[in-house]
Amino acid sequence: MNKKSGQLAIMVVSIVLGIMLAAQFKNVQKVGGTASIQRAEELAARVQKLTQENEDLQKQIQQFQQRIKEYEQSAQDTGQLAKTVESELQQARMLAGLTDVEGPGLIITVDENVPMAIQYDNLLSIVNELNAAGAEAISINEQRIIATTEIRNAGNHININTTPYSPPFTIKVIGDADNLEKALTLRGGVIDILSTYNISVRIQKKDNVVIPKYSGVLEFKYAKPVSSEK
Amino acid sequence: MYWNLNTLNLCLLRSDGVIYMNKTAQQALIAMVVALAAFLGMLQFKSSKGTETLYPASLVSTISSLQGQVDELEETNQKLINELKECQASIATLEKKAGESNVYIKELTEQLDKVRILAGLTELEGPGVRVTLDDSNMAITDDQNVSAYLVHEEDLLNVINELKAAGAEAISLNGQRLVANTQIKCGGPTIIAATGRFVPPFVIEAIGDPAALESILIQPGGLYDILKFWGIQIKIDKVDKLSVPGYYGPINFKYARPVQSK
Repeated sequence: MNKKSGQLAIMVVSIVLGIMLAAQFKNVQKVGGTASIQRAEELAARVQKLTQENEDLQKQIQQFQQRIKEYEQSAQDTGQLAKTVESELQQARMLAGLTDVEGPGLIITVDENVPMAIQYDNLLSIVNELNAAGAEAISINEQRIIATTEIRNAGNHININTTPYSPPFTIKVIGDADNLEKALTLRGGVIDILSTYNISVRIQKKDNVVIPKYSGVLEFKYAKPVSSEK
Repeated sequence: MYWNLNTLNLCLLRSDGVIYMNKTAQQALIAMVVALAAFLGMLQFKSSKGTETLYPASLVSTISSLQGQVDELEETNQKLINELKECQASIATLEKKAGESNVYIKELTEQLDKVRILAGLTELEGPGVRVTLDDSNMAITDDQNVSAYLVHEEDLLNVINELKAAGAEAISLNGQRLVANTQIKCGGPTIIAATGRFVPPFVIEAIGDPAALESILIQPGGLYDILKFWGIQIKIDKVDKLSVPGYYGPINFKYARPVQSK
């Protein structure tokens, strides 16, 4: 190889190299690194969640408009007006857990085969699964589960609504019994997982389950209605 | 590369700036450049192959279309929330008016206001804490269980449960009020219907005694320590005043009814 041809070869290779580098750089820029696919997934999840929220909001607005109509129609009729307010109050009480309720559902008995097998989070996940399956009211050992209920280890016991309990735990739930049962017995579901921890779960479907109201005193010390609310 | 060649005395930089090389040096240089070219070529090929499977050409337009949908939905939902608040205000006015006409109804509506607060149907404000959780930013090697470094529904359930134990009176997760039958599943807190999947970061806001709410989380061996161990990013801020919205999902009791005999 003489000097000229050597230099030419280097030049050609350098040009090719330059083009490749430029292409490589552009390629990386275009896909924006590895974050892009994740970004798309996140956005898709957000769309799904916002769509659900949108449906919920529309349904709730419909319910409110219905209520407004009822109030307006019965404005002159004190008896009817009282009935409308009563039914509204009853529904709010049910949601708050301040009324004894009954209906179809399950009675679930959770017990342990070895001492201390049941931990608070086992009960927490059962409650969460039941809520996911459309539970309308839940109690554990006659303690109504409300918005502020904690389920927490306290020494050898598990505290529910600040009252200590030990196994077995009897969970009552009202809702679509088939759905509720399926949510628990799903393969790889909560019962499968609990059995590996030496925890046994027995499910009975019932036409009528009675769930007591919250027995404690419910009073808010810190939370106040937003003052700007008309 | 240059330094190597120099030390090997294969290449001389003359004072006039022209590089003189002997044949071996030339060949070595060409070999190196060709090797680099081959390496880059491979990289290019691999990267473009990856682009085809992971990043289709349409990805950019998909992202912008999704972003458009998100923006649009957020705007619509905000309008709906405003409409909802107007409805609530009308109902409050109508109830007040109804109360004026009758003592019994007045009593009922006063009770209703209180029960609505307890049920989570009213926007509330007060002191409390704001807890922010995000996936681990620790470097994860392939043989480790990646899943352990992400925020799971159990983590959220646990944080919320601890806050309740410390006397939280009203709690929201990513701006949504938690009520008695809220499930925390993929898609965040919704009642009855599960949708989508989790998208961090998660912001939990709780009204109550800020010191008590904070200390239950940061006590030794508490959740703060446990989550930090996995590199989960957790931040706890005490706040003098925060607001938690009312629950605005539909309320439909299909199966449960009040016990009649009482």
